[in-house]
Amino acid sequence: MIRSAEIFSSQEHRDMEAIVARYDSPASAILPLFHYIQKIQGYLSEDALTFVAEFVGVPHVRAFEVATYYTMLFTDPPGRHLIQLCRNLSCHVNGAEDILEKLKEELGIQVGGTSGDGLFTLVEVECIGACDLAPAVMVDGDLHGRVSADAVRGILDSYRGKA
Amino acid sequence: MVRLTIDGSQIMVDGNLKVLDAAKKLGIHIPTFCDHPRLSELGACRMCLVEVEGMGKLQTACTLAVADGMVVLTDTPRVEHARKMMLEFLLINHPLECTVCDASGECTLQDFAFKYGSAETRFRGEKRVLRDHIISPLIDRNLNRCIQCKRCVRICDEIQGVTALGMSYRGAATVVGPFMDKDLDCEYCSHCIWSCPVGAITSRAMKQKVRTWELEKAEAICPFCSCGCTLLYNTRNNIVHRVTHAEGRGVNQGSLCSKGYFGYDIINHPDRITSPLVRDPEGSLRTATWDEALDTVAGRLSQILEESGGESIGGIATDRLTNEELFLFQKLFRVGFASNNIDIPSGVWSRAVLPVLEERLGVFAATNSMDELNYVNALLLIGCDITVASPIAGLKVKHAIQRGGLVTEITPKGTALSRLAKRSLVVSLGKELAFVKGLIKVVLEEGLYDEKAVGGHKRFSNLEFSVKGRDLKTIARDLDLTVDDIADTAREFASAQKASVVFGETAALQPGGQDLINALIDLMILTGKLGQEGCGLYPVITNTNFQGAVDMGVDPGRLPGHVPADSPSVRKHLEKIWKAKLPKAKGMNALEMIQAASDGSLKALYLVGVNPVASFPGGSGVTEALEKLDFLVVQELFLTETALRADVVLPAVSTAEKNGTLTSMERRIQRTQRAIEGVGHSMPDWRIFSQLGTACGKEVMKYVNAAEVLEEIAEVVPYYSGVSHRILADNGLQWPFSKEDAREIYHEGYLGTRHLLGDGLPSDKQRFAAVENWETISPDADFPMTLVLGDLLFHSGTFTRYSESLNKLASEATLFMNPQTGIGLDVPEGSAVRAISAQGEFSVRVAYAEELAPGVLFIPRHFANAPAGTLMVSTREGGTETAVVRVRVVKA
Ligand code: SF4
Ligand code: SF4
Ligand code: SF4
Ligand code: FES
Ligand code: FES
Repeated sequence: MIRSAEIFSSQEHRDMEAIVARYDSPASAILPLFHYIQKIQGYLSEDALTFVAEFVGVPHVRAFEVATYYTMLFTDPPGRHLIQLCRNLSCHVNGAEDILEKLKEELGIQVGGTSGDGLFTLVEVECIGACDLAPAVMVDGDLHGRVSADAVRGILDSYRGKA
Repeated sequence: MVRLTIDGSQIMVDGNLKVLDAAKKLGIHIPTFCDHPRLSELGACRMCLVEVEGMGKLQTACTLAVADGMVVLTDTPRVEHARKMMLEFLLINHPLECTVCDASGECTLQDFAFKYGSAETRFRGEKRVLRDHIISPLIDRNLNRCIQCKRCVRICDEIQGVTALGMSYRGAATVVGPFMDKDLDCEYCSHCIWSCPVGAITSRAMKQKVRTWELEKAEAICPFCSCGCTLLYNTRNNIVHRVTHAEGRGVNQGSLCSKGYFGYDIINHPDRITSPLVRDPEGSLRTATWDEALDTVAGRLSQILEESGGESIGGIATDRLTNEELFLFQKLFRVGFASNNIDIPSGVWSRAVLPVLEERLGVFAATNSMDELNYVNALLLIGCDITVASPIAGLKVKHAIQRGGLVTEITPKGTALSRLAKRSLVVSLGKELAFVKGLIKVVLEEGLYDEKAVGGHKRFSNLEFSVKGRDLKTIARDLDLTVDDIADTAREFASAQKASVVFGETAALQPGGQDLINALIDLMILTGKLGQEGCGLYPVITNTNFQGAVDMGVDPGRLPGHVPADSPSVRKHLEKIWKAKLPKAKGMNALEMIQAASDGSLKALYLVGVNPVASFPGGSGVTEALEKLDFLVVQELFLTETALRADVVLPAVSTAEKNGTLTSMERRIQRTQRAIEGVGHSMPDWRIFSQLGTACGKEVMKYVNAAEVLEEIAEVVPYYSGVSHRILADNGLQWPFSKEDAREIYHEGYLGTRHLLGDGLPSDKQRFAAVENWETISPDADFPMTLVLGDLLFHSGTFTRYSESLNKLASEATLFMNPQTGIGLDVPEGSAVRAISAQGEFSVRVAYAEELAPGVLFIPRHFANAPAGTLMVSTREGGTETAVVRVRVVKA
């Protein structure tokens, strides 16, 4: 059993209780709880998943299923910047594949991985609503449209400077 | 009922069925992947598509409910095309490594690809290669073979109630596996292996050892506990290569537990004794022929009989033997050696527990059937980790919970059910009685008793008086519970239509356990919960054929049929049939025999499948006692610590190697059949007893086969009268049964008596024990803690020590204690301590477990590093502490 006090402050615990209280069944609060925890801790640690599962009364592996199903939830500490590459139709026909290859090469990682310097985490997503700008890449909150393979390094560099 | 047409044939079926089931009834085979007879519907694989008139799109037959007038086509070009497409999709990623896959020959994907002629896919591109790793020492996962039907995930959740597996990540990267991709930490029930239609989850124990199509399957009964599960031994060249699930068969309907599924490697273990051994004059055991060994035994025992009389010869046989064997064992002793010194290792149940049931209810067994547990509305589980003690009965309790049954567990230690039960109340050992009396108090005070059942009771006021002493608040406070914990449990129990009580070893075999059982019986009588479907009292005795052993009369004080040994009429009857004088005096029980060996009054001991050195109370005293004997015979599968000290060792066989019958915990007599011939020169125990009896000059011990023994059982053993292989043929028969009974079919193929006391409690039994105590275990300042010597899910006595597979799951004992207890004793987790009882001590490492009551300790009794017998207390006066022992613990 994971004691809340070991990983959350009492204020955080109260916040989570409030989240659960908004739903008829505690299990429905699982996603909002994940978002909340990811916001304050950056990712969903094993302890956090265990805690949430027991907090809302579902088997541990069920929490893990949910956490891994959504690409915006992390079960490992992510890099400082999150690269979301769209793999849906418009972007695909406009060359998302090339961008992906370039990103993997530049960062030396696979999809879902985090670069050795801890700066970037690469994930694939389905349509980010920028089909008119396909192929599109989102880094943190910023949208980059009509990206070409050649432009990839420049985009990455612009974040390498930032904190 | 509705009428529908499938492929031109009309059929009337139950309106709740799916098209898939209806087709099956017509003998029309629709291919499926994700559907499974034991599981809820899912409709994920789309392999079962069919055409339905009036519905545009193809429909999944496994989820589509039948409807009146429905016209279904299962074999059209459109259907075939769709199925081919589905296969092609699956084959995009499937590695098609059938040549090295253990599922080959039994793989649904392989079968369908063959049938639909498509081992290829037109989809190009790299096959998915998923990062995989070994998740367990016994269960292999191969992610790339997975077709994502979710059967394993669902069966682990819906049937086993463990939910150890999930489907994580998404799309083509979806993986089946445990929490956080860690190692599997589960009950190893093997359901996931059973359910996987391909080779994505397989048994590591048989990895690439044999091809499935070379195996022959033989149905038998599992030797490891009293559930009496039906299983299939898969054999080739006289070797059992694996066990598989006998779908739809037996009380278990195919389900098994870790022991039944993985424990078979004992059978062909290289250390099996393959020929008789006789101690030579130099003192070492050497190989001998059967003739020589049996002559030695017969000669020595006859000599001792002549010199010192039958009282000086004793025998203890394991309750894993078949009924035929146990019957012959007691006959051999009574007829051959004029001795009633016969017992089983679990005899304490037949002397301390069942007599209470006999006296109070007139029964000598659990009153109701395992199947009824599936449907209980309220259940009281006392001192019984049922998932461990009786895994298949445990599954039934899990199903009752899924159906909304209210289960209250009173336990000194958290269990697998704690998470699932309505309430799991951790109560210290010895205080359960106060809880039960609290229930009685609530029932009386709130008038929840059954008027009809208590109407004529004379001692009603006694019962009221017995619970007067404490108010509910005090009881609750003392148990560290709330008043509602007790009151609600009582209300639920009393008002439930089907309410049962299950109690286990830590309740029944604690010092003073009889009071607790009496209080439980009072509660059941008071609330009118006896003699009906779903209302039963179940003592959970795990020993495989315990019931058969007591029925057959392997007891120093009882003849076959539980009849007291001094009963003149029955003795006379048997004497006529057996042509011998039977001993009148009560014999010695197992512990008394060891004691008598040590003081020299017992000269010869015949041990069959028991290992007192490892598992009897008394520690080194047991070894010393055995060494004092003039003659020790050990009949065994392995050279155990005890066998090493024998004068003659007789090689016996496992259940897989013999024919016979076994009686399960629900009085079900079942037939088990030989799957392979005995290894080496080993012989079935019944044959050994028979030949030995004949060698002692007793013609009445002559039998040609086990069936002939059963014929005699049918003649002389009450409750078994008229039993025959024919009426046992399908799933056995529950005693008592009449001849007419045996021909009829009750309750979905259940034969015999499903629950006892159907005619109500006999009038002389309608009274209350009104237990006055509030606690069962009296405090002992020298030994302030209580230690449970218990079982692990993965082992069965000390027998399964010989299973390499099960040893991979657990092979060493640690002492579990509550962290609070540990801090109090200043013993950090992992440190060594000495556990000391009035009998002896050993040292062992400590592990912390939150879910233990303070002051209660737990240690598994299977392993050599912590020989349980060392701590068990036995006194000449008859007091024993075998399952619950008072101890003190100090830093080592
Ligand atoms: S062995 Fe049983 S408990 Fe373990 S994962 Fe498989 S189905 Fe679940
Ligand atoms: S592992 Fe087997 S049972 Fe489980 S989802 Fe994959 S194919 Fe189905
Ligand atoms: S529950 Fe008992 S009988 Fe059934 S498989 Fe397990 S050990 Fe064997
Ligand atoms: S398809 Fe890429 S943004 Fe919509
Ligand atoms: S069997 Fe019907 S959809 Fe899988």
